[in-house]
Amino acid sequence: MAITEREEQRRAEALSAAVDQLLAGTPQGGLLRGEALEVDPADAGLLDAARELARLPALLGPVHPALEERVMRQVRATERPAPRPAGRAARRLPRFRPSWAFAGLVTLLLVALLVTPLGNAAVASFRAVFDLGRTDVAITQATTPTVTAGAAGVRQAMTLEEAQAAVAFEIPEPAYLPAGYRLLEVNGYSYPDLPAWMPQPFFIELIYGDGEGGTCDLRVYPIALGSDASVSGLRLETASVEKVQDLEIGGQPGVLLRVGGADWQELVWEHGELIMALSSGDLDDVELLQVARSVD
Amino acid sequence: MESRSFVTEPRPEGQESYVELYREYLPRILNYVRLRVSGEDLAQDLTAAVFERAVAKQHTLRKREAFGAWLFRIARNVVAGHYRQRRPTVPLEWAGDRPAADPSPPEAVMRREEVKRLRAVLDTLSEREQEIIQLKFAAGLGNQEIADIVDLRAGHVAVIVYRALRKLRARLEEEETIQEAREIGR
Repeated sequence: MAITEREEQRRAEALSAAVDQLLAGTPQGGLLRGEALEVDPADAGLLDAARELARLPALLGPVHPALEERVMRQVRATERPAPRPAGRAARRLPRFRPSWAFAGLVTLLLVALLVTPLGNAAVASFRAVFDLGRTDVAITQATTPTVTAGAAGVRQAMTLEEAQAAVAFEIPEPAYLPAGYRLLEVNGYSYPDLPAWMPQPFFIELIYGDGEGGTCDLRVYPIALGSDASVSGLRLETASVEKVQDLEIGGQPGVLLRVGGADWQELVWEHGELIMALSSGDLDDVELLQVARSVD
Repeated sequence: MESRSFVTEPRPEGQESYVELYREYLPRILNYVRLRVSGEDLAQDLTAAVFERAVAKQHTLRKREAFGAWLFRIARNVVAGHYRQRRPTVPLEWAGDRPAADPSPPEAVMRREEVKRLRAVLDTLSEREQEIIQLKFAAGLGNQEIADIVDLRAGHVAVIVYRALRKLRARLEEEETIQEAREIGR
């Protein structure tokens, strides 16, 4: 049965008070099933969900002593006394609130999105999923289990030969590179949190550069992960996608994405049993495409 | 011999050290960050970055009572900054359950599995509901403190917690039913 807003507010306040009581009594997230916590009888079941969640601090575990030491060293090094209570002399002009600036920015963005073709295109591209054949490139929130490349992974520098020996697929390389470019670095990314049967390293990164700051980065992901899992898509989380272009690379569909204020662009395509992602902040799209089309 | 301690001098009233406040909030911030990102190492690095930024910006904190909300706003910004960076992620398709050959102690494995299960349940909520539930249960904050962090009224936070718990209860009951059906089927 639907309840009125006022009734919902009353029940919500009662539930919050009970949850606070529950959390206060469970510093380690222990269960207090026997305790009477006053909520609307219709909401008694919600406390079971709250009890489940109250276990989170205990499940997540304590602060590692090394982290505590690291943080507290910083704190002690720059310790300052707390400010004195504000008196008559402490009256100030209204303080600038970041939320005002944020609200202004959001309003401006909304106006831009609603009235400009560029804004409309950006919204459309931001929601897009690009079919590459066996895999997709998505720029939306993923709901499936994910691993995060470059964040949770452990990067291990290796030679190309070592990388080749560590993976079950043949690492392809571009036959064409812009003038002065050569292979500078090879990294393997492993994810300790993934089940042990998952092949590791999970992907290989080849970094090419001209030695003067210009680089392009080729990441090679296997689609099949043993016989029990496969990669279904590559998700790019980013604040903005300025340009999206469908392309063909080696007879396969690919997609070129220009991301984040034209700082860099990325080309993603399938290459046999692999997903290739070639990105650069230094090469233009023509050169990037030329490099990609030479990969074999 | 003269005793040595971190407390090197007495402080006048009203000039208490922030050290204990930082220490009190460390596990709360860490738990919040742990649920916002994937991977313990990353969570620890980002937590350290939160405190580094807080210490550097402490002069901007005007009221001691606002310390918690101020620190959590820094944590939100640090996490958001992390997500603003280029971050390709790879959804996986799984072909059924496989036992992980994990060398960790069974208890640690079970705890990790429990966290994974609760995270999956939380994933069914909207982004705002998730964050408020994380601030409430992982960081242990009250509604007013959460309201100050996310710029809402405390009453509104209570309603969001209420609605989120209703969804979570339904989800957990659904899971329980599936589990029971599996056990009966064995």
